[in-house]
This record gives sequence, structure tokens and C-alpha cells, in this order.
Amino acid sequence: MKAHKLTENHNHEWIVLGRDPDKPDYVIDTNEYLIISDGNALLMDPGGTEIFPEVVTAVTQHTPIESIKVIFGSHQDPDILSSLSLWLSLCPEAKVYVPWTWPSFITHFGCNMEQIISVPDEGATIELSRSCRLEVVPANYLHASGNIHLYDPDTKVYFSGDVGAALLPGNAAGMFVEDFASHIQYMEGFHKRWMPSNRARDHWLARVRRMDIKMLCPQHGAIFKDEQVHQFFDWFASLELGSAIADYQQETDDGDSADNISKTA
Amino acid sequence: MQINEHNARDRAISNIFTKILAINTASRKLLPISNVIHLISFNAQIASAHAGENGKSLGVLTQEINELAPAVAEHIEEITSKINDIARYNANCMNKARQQEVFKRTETILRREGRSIDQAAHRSEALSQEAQDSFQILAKQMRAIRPALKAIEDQAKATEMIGSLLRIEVAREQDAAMDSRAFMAMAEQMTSSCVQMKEITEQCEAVLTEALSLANGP
Repeated sequence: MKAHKLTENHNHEWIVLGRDPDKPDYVIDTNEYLIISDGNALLMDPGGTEIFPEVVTAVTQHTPIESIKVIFGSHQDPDILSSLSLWLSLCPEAKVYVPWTWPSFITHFGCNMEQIISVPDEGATIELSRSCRLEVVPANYLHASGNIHLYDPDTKVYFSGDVGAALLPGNAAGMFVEDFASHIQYMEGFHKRWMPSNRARDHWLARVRRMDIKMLCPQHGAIFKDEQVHQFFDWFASLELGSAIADYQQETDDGDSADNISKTA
Repeated sequence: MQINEHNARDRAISNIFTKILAINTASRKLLPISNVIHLISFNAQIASAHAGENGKSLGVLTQEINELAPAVAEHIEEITSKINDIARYNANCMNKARQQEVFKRTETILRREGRSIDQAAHRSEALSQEAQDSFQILAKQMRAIRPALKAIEDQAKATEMIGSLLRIEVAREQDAAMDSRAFMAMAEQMTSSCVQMKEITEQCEAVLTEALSLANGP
């Protein structure tokens, strides 16, 4: 598993882990992010059970396992949190921040409710250390009905969960977007299908456009830097989301397709 | 197996795993130290080449160190790879421990309802047997880390010894046309880096011994 230091500010650093060359093809590629500050660590979207061994080995190359004080789950999907019970067996003191909609769902992964902190719809702050205060930014319906992102005002790095995600070809090794225009092909289908709401997107864009963001870090695919962050915002703003509904409506408008659907039903 | 016995095993596996991960964190600290040694010996080699005939013997010594340094990086990678294997096995053990718990509960419900428990009982029994074996397998995997740790320690010792020879040689060549103070400083830095390396490998070895005793205990 590759590890790349994204930014370092005094004793406060961001590391991205991903692009594991040994990962089986049937498992979607994910990025795990780690913030280390004054000996405390926060792990974002730690991933699924299948990749837990590689992630835990990579994390502990940078920080001791007992330094993990916070696990941040952007939403409830298995590629985000199905490894949670394994992590909590090693970090029994860690607190898990998730949107308020998901604790009773996430406990189905076999973890302790007492360690979970529900984040309200309006967001929250996380104080990882005295020098590291992080903002939990609401991103509901992008794509899950309860969804959160994380912003570090100190380093200007923004963890965007599935927003900005790209399904890259197997041979893609780079951690950063090289050419925005050619990167669109890897994220367009994903955003149209997985992101359900234009209204939620517009609401989120209005908020993040006011923020000073130098790096946008999605949970799948490559990271956007500097100007690319705004290129992404503009591109995302122009997209028609919820493609599955649009396709379905088109089919039901057509009489034959509607018949087929009702027969199948 | 009773649930509390199962929990104790789960905790023991977590404790062993935590120790192994501590070795991973510590062994990673060896890499920058090894890089420092490499850089110093490289500088010393350049300096000895500048000193011409007088620096020839120093050049031979620093060349030796230069050849040792990359091997340390290889051994660290080997340790990481073995720890990755242990992590995979551990995750598997923890998942199986959970499965066993679920099958035990299934067995209880089936029994209560007067239904056949054969399949659930068989699966539970098989998982229990695997759990019995898991500590031996873990111990075997942990012992596989030892040669790489030992090799790093040996390399640190060898480098330290060459560093001492370097100091003796510099002292002997004090009158020669070269900056003996700079050489001495480089040799001392090298020695202190080697001491750090030895300390880390000793710590790792101590943690490994503790983890092995935990694996052999239950």
C-alpha cells in the first residue's frame, strides 16, 4: 500500500494511504487518510475488512496504533467502515465520529455503541490536539442521506468522502489528478449515479466555495490540488445528478418499457 | 468453549497484534537512521578521495559502510511484509472469533426451538479447533520476523566497528593533508546512529519476545 505525505505543518501532518498493488480486483480501491498531531492520530474512512491488514500495517509505519484517538466515518457504507470492529479491538479508547443517521446501522458491523459520537446535521468540530482543530462539514445526500466531510483550516486540506471520487483504471498509480479534463471520464458516471440530489450538491457547493481549500481529497481516486479544486466545483455544479431516476423516467414514458416493467413486477 | 474463554482469546490476540504493530512502528524509525549513515559514509568517501593517497585506507572503510546501508532498507521491508502477513492472519482470526460467537448463538436458538443443530454445531466446532491452532500459527509467523531484526542488529554492529576503525585510522593520519576533524565528526555521528539502531532493534526484540510468550501462554 502506498503512503504519501500530503502536508506537514509544525507537528501536524496529513498522510494518504492507497493504491495497494496487491488489492484483489473485486474490491473497490479506496484512499485512507491519516492526520497526526502532537502524538494523536485521526483515521478517516478506514475501509473494509478485506483491506484492514494492509491499512493497519501502513498506518503503524507512521504512528503507533495506540495514538489513534479518532476514527472518522463519512457515512455507513461497507467500503468505509466494515473494518470498524477490528479497529476498535485494537484502539478501544478511540471515538468514532459518524453522521447521526448511522450509529444503529454501524453497530451491525459489531462495534460498541459507547464509542460512537453522532454528528448532527449542522456539523461539529473535532479537537485532535491543542494545535489541531478540525471542522466536520455536513454533506448530506452526497451521497448518503447522512454524510460528513472533514476540513482542516490550518493546512487547508478538505476530505470530501465520495465527492470528487473517481473509478480509476487498474494501472493508475498517481495519487494526484494530473490533467483535470482527462480525469473527468473517471468520475462522471460515478457522480451522476451515486450522487442523488442537485439541491444537496448546490447547497454544499455554496458552502465550500466560501472556504479556503488547497487540496480536495476524495475517498476513491486522485486528489485535486489548488486550481483543480475550483475546476472540480465548476464541473460538479454543471452536472445533472441522479441519473438512475432520469433513465427510469425515460423508460416509463415509453409505453413498451412501462409494460415490461409492470410485467416484471 | 465458553463465551468468556472466547473473549479472553480475542483479547490475547488483540494484545499480541498490538505488540507486533509496535514493532512495525519502531522498525520504520530505522530507515531514516540508516539513510543518515549512508549519507555520512558517502561524504566520508568523497573526503577520502580528495585526500588522495593519504585517504586511501579511509576510502576502503567508508566503502564497506556504504555497501552495508542499503541492506538495512531491504530488511526493514522484509519486516513490514511479514507484519502484513501477521495482520492478515490476525484479521482472519478476529473475524472467525466473531463467526464462532454467532454460530454459538445460532446453536442456542436452534436447540431452544427443538430443531437440528448439526450444521451450526459442526461449524462452531471447526472454528473452535482453528482457534486452538491460531496461537501456534501466530507464534510461527512472529518468529519469522527475527532473522531480519537480527540482520539489522548485526549490520549496526558491523558499521559501528568500521566506524571505530575509521576513528583509529583518522587519528593515525592526523598529520596527513586532510581535514581530520571533519572525518572524526563523521565517524562519531556514524557511531551514534549505530547505537540508536541497536537500541531500536533491541526494543523490537524485547517486544517480540513478549508477544511470543503471550502466544505460547494460553
